[in-house]
Amino acid sequence: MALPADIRIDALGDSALVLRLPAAIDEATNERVHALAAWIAANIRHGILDLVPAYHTLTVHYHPWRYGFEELAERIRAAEPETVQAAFRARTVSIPVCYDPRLGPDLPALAAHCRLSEDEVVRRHSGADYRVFFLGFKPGFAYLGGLHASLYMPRHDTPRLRVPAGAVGIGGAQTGIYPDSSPGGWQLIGRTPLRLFDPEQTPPSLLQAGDHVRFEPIDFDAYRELGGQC
Amino acid sequence: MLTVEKPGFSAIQDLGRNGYQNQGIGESGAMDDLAARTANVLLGNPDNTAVIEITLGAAAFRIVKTQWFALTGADLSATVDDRPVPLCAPILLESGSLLRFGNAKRGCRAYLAVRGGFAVDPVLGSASTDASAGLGGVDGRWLRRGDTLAFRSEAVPARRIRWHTCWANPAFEDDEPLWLIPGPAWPELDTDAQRECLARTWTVGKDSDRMGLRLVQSLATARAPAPVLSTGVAFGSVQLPPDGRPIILAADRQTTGGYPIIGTVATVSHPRLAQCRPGDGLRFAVIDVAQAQTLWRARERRFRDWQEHMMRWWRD
Repeated sequence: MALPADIRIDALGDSALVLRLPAAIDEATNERVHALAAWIAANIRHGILDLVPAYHTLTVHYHPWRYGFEELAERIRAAEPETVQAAFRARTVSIPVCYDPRLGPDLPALAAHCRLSEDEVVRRHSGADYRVFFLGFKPGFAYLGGLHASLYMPRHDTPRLRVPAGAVGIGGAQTGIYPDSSPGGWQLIGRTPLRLFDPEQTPPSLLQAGDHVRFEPIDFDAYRELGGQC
Repeated sequence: MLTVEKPGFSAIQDLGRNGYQNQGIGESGAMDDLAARTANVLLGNPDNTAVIEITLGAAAFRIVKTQWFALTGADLSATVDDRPVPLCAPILLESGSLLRFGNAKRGCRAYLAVRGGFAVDPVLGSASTDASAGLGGVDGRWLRRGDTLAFRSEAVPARRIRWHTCWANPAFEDDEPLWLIPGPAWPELDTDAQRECLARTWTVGKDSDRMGLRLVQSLATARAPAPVLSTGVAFGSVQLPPDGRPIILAADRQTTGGYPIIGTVATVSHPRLAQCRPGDGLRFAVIDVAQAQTLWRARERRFRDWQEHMMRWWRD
């Protein structure tokens, strides 16, 4: 029984189970989630189909031909995630972002809402150290923590029908990058020319859980030179 | 080779894309995995071979090269050159013939397999179409008129076949409830709501699709389960959004979700779930996880025995 006592294991149907830490959106909790995932990936080699980390949970999809729920839960109770705490390579990914109202049409409205100048919004948004808690929602979409509280702004009441790939936005207390063009309700403040998701790459997502992310302001010409679309 | 003359709602699927949910990439795959596997096994194919999933009929395919096919799952009034096609048996379709699907008589989704499989390159380990991410299948999308699908195998084995199997049919033969394994939000429902959830016949909404089955009625509960932080979800997970209308997540679900989960439909009931049409009624009955696994394993053992038998039959 090496699994820390504050981690619960619940069945999610008969082919998945969930390891649940006390609910919180914080780095320490999330790092423990990823350490658990790393332990399972290294120690339980067969019959695990997917490991899905989130803020404070790790969902383990398994093949029920291989394990009964109790059988797999028992193996996981032997986990010693604290021994793999250093599973993350400390990687910082720099994302060039052009904060130009041509590409970030909501920048003026967000500045007004937050009672800051546009330059100050850009300074605060690009001055923070963000961390990728996990990927979900759609391919290559990173749930980032670390948005400065002075930049919070609710989503649009009516989502845009089309937000372009690479759009950088703010939705409530979250900030993120749209990996592909899709409908979306976030306040758009800029755009990156980088491709966030490419199935030809290994791994296909540019950002990985645990990464630190910095947004690096670039001007419109640089955006175009880096292959950015308008 | 086969040409799509009328696509209806059809797409290439196999048993799904695993190992990439931590990249935000969903599982996709055949909604009725048992029917898809059965179609393949009837032809001696590995059960994960790519098939065409046809939803609710109104589709037509021109056979360009003679080959063995198998059709399983829903009865979508399939005909070949206007003669009815038997379900759940290998059928030899001649070059030039037209395989046409009409109305859905029973069930929702049919599976068309070809001997040797369709020549579709896997993307991230699977041929499954994930249309929202644009991955797999034919250019990551639903089939269109004019698409051609090549076959992997040219050889047409000579066989005389006078039998069929009933695998993949029982999914909608009976009135069995969907077995539901209670989830984290189940204890948060008051007893009346729990009772109502299990007593009522729910109606499948028109806004249902491969992402999820949206139920028409809403579940009245004294206090709604608390919202949760986004967390992983499974095929069959029953979410309860604030409006009280349950959503049963299916093959094209997102990898994570933030609505409370009252339970997850057991694997043994997935084929039945997949064959529900908009307007159909469904009921839930509670089962614990160990019982659910026992039921599924018993079925799976019989399936694997039959699979082995079929593989031998095609080899000999």
